[in-house]
Amino acid sequence: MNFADLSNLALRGLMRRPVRTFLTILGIVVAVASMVVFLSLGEGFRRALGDQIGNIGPDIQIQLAGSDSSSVFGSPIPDVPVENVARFETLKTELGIRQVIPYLLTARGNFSGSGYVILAYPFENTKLTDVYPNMKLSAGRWVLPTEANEKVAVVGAQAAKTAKLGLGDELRLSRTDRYKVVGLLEKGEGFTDSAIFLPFQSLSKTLAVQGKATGIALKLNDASDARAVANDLNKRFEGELKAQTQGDVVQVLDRAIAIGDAFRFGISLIALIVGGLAVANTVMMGVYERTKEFGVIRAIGAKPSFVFQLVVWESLLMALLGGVGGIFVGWLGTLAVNFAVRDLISVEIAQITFRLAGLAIGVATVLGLLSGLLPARTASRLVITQALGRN
Amino acid sequence: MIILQATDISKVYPSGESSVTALNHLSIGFEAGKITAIVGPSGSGKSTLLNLLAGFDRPSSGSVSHQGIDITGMPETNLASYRLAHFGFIFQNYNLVSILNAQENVELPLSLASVPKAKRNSISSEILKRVGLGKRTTHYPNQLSGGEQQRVAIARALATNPSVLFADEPTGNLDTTTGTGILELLTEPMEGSQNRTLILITHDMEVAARANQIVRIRDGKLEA
Ligand SMILES: Nc1ncnc2c1ncn2[C@@H]1O[C@H](COP(=O)(O)OP(=O)(O)O)[C@@H](O)[C@H]1O
Ligand SMILES: [Mg+2]
Repeated sequence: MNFADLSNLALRGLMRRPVRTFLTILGIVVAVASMVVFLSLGEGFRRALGDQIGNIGPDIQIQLAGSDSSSVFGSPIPDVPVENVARFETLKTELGIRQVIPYLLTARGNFSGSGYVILAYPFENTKLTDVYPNMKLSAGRWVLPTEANEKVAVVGAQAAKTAKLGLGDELRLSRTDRYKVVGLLEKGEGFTDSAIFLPFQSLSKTLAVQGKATGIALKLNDASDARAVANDLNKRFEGELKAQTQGDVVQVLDRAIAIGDAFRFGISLIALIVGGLAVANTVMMGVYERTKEFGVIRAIGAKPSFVFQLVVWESLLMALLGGVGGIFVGWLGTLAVNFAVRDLISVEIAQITFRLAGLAIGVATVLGLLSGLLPARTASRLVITQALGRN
Repeated sequence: MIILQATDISKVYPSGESSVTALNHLSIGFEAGKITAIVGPSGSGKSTLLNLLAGFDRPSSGSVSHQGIDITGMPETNLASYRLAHFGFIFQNYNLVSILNAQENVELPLSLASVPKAKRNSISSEILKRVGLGKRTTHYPNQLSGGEQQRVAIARALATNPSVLFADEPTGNLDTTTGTGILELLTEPMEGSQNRTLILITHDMEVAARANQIVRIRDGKLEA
């Protein structure tokens, strides 16, 4: 029998109980959709990471050897002595370092909610555009080199929204310390949108962490040297400081996202297993109901393997229809997620990529095959005379 | 010429602690192109014999051969292909596939045998016309009367032009008039397929009278 005939027969079998078949497919749709939505979050983060890598920071970041760089979105305790800046200054010509910039980083609120990030740079010798070349003001002005000790702030577009800050408003960081907003940034791509920029020395005092930095950023004359320079620095300061390139940071983040993916996939696996059991149950019931018909088909001359294929194909058809439906419903779900968080984060965190759609179809296929195996085995092994019943 | 031969076949069904001997060392040969009627009381082993001859089931001992080929020891896959190629069956309760219409039921063995669609269509249309259902081709089994369903079943059995046709009480569920029509259909010589062997179980002595040979069975044995 050719494939078209087999498919036709399988479809007819499924359409014998249209409501039951529909409900089963719906179960798969829900399971696959939940998986798609869950995993789309990871894809969104991953894509955002790719888009915004230029904005995450400098070519090389220096941190203490023991500290954990994966807490980019947390509030790491500033632990890098500022004296180290001088050590890198002396290596400037030898290693092609253009600028050495200590910075402080602290997060307020949580990143997914109403949070923002506070970043402090030594404005006496650094401009924000040195670190973020694409950054533009939408109102006000930059922090002046003379304001290194003043309580002034330049605020990212998204941070202005979440912290409800306008030009001239004050950002209150402690009972005594209020920072006046002197500049607002144009909406850019991602991370810097959710940041508020303050002078390094002022924030040092406010946080009472004088002499310490969260890290030291290095701008190189040629960014493509980053890997080699980082290796060199890691050798020179082994056990004391560590140098990371943007690639390293991305790798760590990527690993964090992968762990998140695994976790979310684990959750959706439960839904998938339940969906798979529903398919198995439906197909099994179909097999029991049609025992006699399978007996007739076998009596006429169908091989056991044909009956096996027929039943597996029924199962696979349901799972694939559910998979396609699940991708569609999941896509609607990601639209809803992105709409719900549109004011909180500037990136579309939920993304359906081809990779994800492929995974969904793959999972549905495996599901259909697995669910069909047992019923197919049962159907293919039935004894003809018993299946036909007694005349 | 003997086309189908059963040699010393027995069939024992396990039944709880004990067992039932449905066929007891029975041997019988069937002439090619002849009609054989199998008669006997209920429970005597008629259906069991037919099932073994048709290769639906295997004897507990003994063997069945068709055109000199022993089908008893064939692997199930080969046996299925063998049935498809050489045998046709008609059951008392028609056993049409309910999700397929008349024409599709008739074409089922043809598509199992991978006959191309166009050829399938022409064969099924022709046979359905021959059994008097030329205008019922798209009806589903539940839209057909018992007699009509049995005609579809006969058309399905004939579609592959088998050398042996088996029928287990084909008129058992039909009234006398309808049953007579079905029997005429089964026993009338058909053009281009003169050599068909028909082995038929019946309770009806009138039916048996049409046969070339009558085989009587009692308690799983041939009656002299
Ligand atoms: N699948 C089976 N399992 C157990 N016993 C069976 C089975 N099929 C038939 N029998 C027994 O075998 C004997 C012969 O049955 P059967 O061949 O159907 O007789 P008939 O067709 O002549 O009425 C009966 O006693 C019946 O109960
Ligand atoms: Mg019987």
